[in-house]
Amino acid sequence: MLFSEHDSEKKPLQPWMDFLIKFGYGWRCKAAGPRRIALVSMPCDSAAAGLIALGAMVRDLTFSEANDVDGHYDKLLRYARQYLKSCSRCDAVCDPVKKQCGYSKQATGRLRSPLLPRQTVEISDKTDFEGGQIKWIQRDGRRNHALVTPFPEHAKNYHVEDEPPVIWNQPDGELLSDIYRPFIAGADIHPANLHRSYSGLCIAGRAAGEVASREVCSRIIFSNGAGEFGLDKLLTVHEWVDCGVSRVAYFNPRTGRMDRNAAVPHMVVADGDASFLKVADCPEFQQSDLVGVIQRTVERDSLEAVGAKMTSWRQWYDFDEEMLYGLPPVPRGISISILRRRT
Amino acid sequence: MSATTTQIFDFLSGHPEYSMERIEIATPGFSMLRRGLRAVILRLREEAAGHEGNELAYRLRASLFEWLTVPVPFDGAIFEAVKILGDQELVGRKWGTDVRAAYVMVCDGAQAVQQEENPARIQLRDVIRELRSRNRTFKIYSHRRARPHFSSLFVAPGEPALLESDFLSSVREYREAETFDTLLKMGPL
Repeated sequence: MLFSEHDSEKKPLQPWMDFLIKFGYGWRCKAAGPRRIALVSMPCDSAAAGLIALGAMVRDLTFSEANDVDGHYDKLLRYARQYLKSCSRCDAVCDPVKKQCGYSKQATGRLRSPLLPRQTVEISDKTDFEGGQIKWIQRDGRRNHALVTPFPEHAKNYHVEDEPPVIWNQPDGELLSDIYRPFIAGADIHPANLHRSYSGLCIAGRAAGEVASREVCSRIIFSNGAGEFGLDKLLTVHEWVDCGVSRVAYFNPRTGRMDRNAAVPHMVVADGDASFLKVADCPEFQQSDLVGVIQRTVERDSLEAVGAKMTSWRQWYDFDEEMLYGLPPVPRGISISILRRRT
Repeated sequence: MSATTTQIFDFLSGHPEYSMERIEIATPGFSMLRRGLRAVILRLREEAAGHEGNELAYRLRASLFEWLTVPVPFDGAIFEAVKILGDQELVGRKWGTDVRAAYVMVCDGAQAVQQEENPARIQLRDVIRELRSRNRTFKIYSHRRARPHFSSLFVAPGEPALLESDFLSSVREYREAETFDTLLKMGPL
């Protein structure tokens, strides 16, 4: 595996990148343990958060249960309930924070499917919540429409508009294991996961915005026999790829919103001090493991704010020395602190 | 363009140790000036010295801080700066004989330092020449307004002048700088 950075010449994977990818990969070894928080301090601005997320993503690809397919029908039912009971009756410009309706994002009631790329179907008010039976309207032209009662198996092909498809059976959008496997020797990638989305891993972008987060990742280009791939594409954040599955959710710290209505992610990788502090205070991430990546060349006030936050956690957390000592040798210039919640 | 992450890690792995060299400089004239000025400032910062005294103490303190952290030439400008207190007789009548005695020491010191070049300038010039001769890259950490004083160290023909890129004045400039071997800083650590 070769890489280039800022259009420089191609080189073998550098120790600092290898370490960060392996750090992300090794994070979820003990899935059922108490919550952990890590702070990774870098000597300069870098794509470290993206690399850690990439490692964690490869790890998730090895778990057969790491997909959004299970429970998708229930998710569509919840979405239908939100649309029919709340959003369709709301006459305000959508701002869930101000309205305090309990939802994080507006439900438009429209679903999409890779099987019908140019169409949407609309949640029907005939949906039976007590019977757990979703119904939608499929239009064919202006006049004709059909009320569809899908089986759960068929519903997997439909997903909420503006969100990634939960399953992708087209040949052009599935992930290639040849790209991900070389990052971790011996990673046993579960083949079914390569065409299934997953929302259990989240990257919280930079405070400067999603464009800045994507740009820093796009500067790292990996190449092997399978082709050349930017880190931004490898992460499969929904807005960063043209189509296909998405196995990393994106949290925008400026708007405080995720790119999808999803269950609580098991891990959030925060890029930058402001993002780290924002995620740390977000109620929806209080159960998620948190890995913050900061650079030491920010203003002193910002570093002190992060330090104060880490100190405040010491009331309930201990240093996770077991994990710290189990890490591969940390490259000179990177420092890491890991906290584990007391049980 | 700033250094890439890989360049920075390569640089760090190539420099497993770092050292800090501290050069202390002393000159009798400046010691006299500094001691006297400290005594005046301490006295004028007291509440009893009034608003005018406090204001003067603040200005003298700013001047002293500049002389300690910037390679200023020891010329008439120093004497001008301390003369803001006015006539020695007047100082004695306004703030007492102890302030007057300290003020006399300040004026003597300000005149004494003009007899020779600021030793900090000589030292900095030597250090930079040595770094250049060894092809060591360096940056000077200074306030933006202090740059002309550093630049004035190399005005002789045939000697390369200091460039704007040789200075660091903010975290942002540090962030965007290429890697370098030595950081020069004048003043307290």
